[in-house]
Amino acid sequence: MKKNDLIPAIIWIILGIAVAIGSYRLKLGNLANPGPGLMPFLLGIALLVCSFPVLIHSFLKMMRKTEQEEKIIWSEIDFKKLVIVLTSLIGYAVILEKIGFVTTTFLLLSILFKTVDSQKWFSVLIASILTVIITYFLFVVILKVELPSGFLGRIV
Amino acid sequence: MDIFSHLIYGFQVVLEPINFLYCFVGVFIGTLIGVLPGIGPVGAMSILLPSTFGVSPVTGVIMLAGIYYGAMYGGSTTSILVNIPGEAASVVTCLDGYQMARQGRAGPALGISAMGSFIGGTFSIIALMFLVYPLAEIALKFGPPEYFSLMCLGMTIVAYLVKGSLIKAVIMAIIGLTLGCIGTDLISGKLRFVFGVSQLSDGINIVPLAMGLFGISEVLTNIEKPLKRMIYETKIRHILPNLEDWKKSLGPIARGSIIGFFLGILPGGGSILSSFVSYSTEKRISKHPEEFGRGAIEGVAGPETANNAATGGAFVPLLALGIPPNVIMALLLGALLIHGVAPGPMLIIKHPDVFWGTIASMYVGNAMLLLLNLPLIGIWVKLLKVPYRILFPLILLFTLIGAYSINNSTFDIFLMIFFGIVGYLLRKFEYEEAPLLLAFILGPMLEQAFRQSLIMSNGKLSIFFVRPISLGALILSIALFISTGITVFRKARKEVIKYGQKT
Repeated sequence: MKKNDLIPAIIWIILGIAVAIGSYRLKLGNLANPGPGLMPFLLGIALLVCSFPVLIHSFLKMMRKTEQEEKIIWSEIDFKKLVIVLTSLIGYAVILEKIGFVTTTFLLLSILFKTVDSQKWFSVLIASILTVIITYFLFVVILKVELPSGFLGRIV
Repeated sequence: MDIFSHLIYGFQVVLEPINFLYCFVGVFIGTLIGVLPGIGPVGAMSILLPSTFGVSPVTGVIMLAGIYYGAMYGGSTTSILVNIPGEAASVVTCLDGYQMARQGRAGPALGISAMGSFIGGTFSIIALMFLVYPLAEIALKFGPPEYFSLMCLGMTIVAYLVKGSLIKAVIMAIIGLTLGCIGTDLISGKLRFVFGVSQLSDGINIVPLAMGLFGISEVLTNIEKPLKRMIYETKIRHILPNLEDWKKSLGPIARGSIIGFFLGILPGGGSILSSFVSYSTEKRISKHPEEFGRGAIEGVAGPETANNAATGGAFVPLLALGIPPNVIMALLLGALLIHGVAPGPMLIIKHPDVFWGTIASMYVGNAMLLLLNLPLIGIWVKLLKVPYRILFPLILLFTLIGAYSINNSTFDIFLMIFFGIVGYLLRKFEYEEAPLLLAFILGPMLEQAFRQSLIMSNGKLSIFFVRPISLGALILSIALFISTGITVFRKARKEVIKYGQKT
């Protein structure tokens, strides 16, 4: 275990306390007649109990060696790609029902293909259009999934 | 015998056109994801889970099971030709399989692994068939306390066998159980931890959770380190192993079948552990152990047989007790629960079509896989060359469509992205998601068993300790925890895990 264990341990402790308090409010009942809060209350306490060894271990490790084999977690992250992928996913969910499956999917694929491959826009667009056509055929025509048609669908 | 008439009934179920088609689609997709990089069987099954909602439960389970054992076949292809395991259970096949490929013997290596897989798979299905019946009879006598303790034991073993720290795995299981509490309390009807979000009143749907944790987070992890794969360019000739190959392989295949099946029943380890145990067994009893690692066909035949035999073993606790021994079985359980089918001893009586249909579908699926993998091996090899940069936008798109299609609402997409980020962070902080998902699915059943036991005993916790089966399961769980505190056992556990997951 490393210094990196500190942050999750603190989160678990807060989460454990929150779950325990929340469950207490749900009414615990008693053992003969357990209420809705009993099980989550026990889980919250268990989470709290299990977090402490992680926390203490991480403190001990931090005191013993400093700045060794650390930063591993964050060093290899490609923040630019990560942010682009995550925002485009969230964006997809936001505009899907407003603009419709075909347009939204085309936009998403263009961004994703461009980000990771950084090819010429021409091939990116061709690949995206092809994928949209294939997935539309697969999901809407064959599997009969109801996907939002959006304004384009209304015009056509 | 009675079993055979049931089995014929099972075949009738599978041979219905829709079931036959879904079985084929399942094993096809399974082989595909076994071959393709960057997505494992758990991710693929969760993506395809929504597509099973529209069909009958048996059809859905047939397809999902097909993905599972299909991936075992596909995974060995990449191990042999690329030296990269398509999924974790094929890690050990790399050792001798890739060496065989380099010596120009890729054909027999692929051939024996497909044949071994077929034999192991078939053996385990037969064993499963004979074992489930008596086990289910016993399980019918189990009450809530037995179920509670057995589920605890199951989760403990899964946490015990997860790589990395035990306490972290336990924390993951607790988080999973807590997530399972969200929604309407089944007994009192009260809403729990819903925070006014109406979509949560039925609880968190398993599909966005599983797709986020295993689909999205996998992609997020993979885009930062591009997977480079070198394919060993070789002509694949003589797919059918010759007589000498067969002579060498028969023993390993027979032992692999038995090892695989019985280790598959155990929670946690499943196909990964069984392939390693088979490999080391073959190496130990071999007359020429020095050949292992240099292209010994026994080192391919044994483990490949074992990991497929384990898939059949893993069905035993799911079908007989309703307790899934690993994440993949947990997903199958989730699929059944969505359809309102509760697995367990009553499954055979209440839903014989699901039970016998699934078993018979595994015969049919194994035969399909043999045809798909041997004559068509060339096509799969071409697919190995599909670059990840083309795959990953497609994987993301499929998860988005899958999440949306559950309830035709974007809420599930947001939920999935949220769990994707959570899963990504958990991976970064070296927490394993498997115990979380397993506990999430077991959660509601565990709580119900716990509360019913308490009501039964009028509030006495001793009910868990006076019943012999329940007591035994609890003692075993506690013993496993204590054993990690003792140095000797801690070392042993590390060995077992290192052994099981050299990825």
